[in-house]
Amino acid sequence: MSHGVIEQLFYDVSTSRSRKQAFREDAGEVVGKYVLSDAERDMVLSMQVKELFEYGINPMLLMGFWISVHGPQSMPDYLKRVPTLASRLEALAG
Amino acid sequence: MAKIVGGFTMPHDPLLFVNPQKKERDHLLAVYSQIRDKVQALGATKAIIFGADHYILFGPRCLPQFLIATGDLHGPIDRLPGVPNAPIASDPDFASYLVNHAHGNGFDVSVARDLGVDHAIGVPAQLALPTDGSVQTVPVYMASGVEPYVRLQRAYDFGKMVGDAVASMPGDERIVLIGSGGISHWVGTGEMGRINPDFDKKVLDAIVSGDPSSLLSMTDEEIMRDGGNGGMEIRHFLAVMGALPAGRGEVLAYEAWSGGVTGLGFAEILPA
Repeated sequence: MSHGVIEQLFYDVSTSRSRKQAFREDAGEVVGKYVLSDAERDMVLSMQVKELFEYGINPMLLMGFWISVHGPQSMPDYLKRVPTLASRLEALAG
Repeated sequence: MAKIVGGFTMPHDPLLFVNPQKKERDHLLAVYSQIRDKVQALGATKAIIFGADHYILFGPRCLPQFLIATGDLHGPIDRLPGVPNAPIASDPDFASYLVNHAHGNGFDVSVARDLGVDHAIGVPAQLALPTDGSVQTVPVYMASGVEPYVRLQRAYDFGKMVGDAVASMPGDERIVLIGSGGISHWVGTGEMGRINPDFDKKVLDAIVSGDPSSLLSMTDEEIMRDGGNGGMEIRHFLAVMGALPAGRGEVLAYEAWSGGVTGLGFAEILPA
């Protein structure tokens, strides 16, 4: 499980202009610099917001990463995909 | 002897400045100016601002529970219309005094020797303090945005420690405290846009009464359920309350503003 590595990747892309540009130009190459499982790499490259959220990625960081890649005008699309915090709390409560 | 002359709580919702829906907001921006006037009227010389990093400054490889910036400051680095990314007056000696006091009194705070702050510190520093640098800022970052969160009681106790530090400091500094944060808000989750006025009222009622018990008795799960992940920022209000025990508050403005995603509450806390 590389939860922290995914967050590091998202943090790097969200906070570094050059890393953001590199991700937009060749996401596969950027993601290849991080040690992720095949399933994690798929989640990131295909922007599986629901799965990433359920994996426990910080929602603020997840949203920031999405905006970095797709731009702020894409927020309605993000919000259609992302689950509720209530659902995460329910899952944690078992 | 140095003294705390007042406390304030205020939001830092970026949408209030970006205002993508072009909603009326001048009356809300005016409250920052109102607080700036109050800070000047109090004769303040220093401001301690409690805020949260939004996964902008500190990455997954190093997430401080408490961090005090002891060097030069500027920001906010996440640029917002009407909030300049500009130098913020600082006082390294005063900040280092607080760090030393913390280390001697049960809080092993981290430090930043030079910091570009984010909007949690930058909005109040640039909008609610005098623009002439006459009030020097000490930023205190608390883990309220990224897990593991500072415990609520710990946040309150941290404020109490700050109050003790000021009370034992020689000189005649006049210090204001600012708790920076929205009340209810959901950030990056499916509920984003929801505001819970009942939760906001509960928080503001506690601030007005000067009694933190209703806030300290909440669990993090209750806060996230009723106030969202952004509601974890009430820790910053608790820190101000801890430094001003029994200090009663007054709500300067509250609005569940339709142009944003946050319960916007502005309050003043007067020393008892």
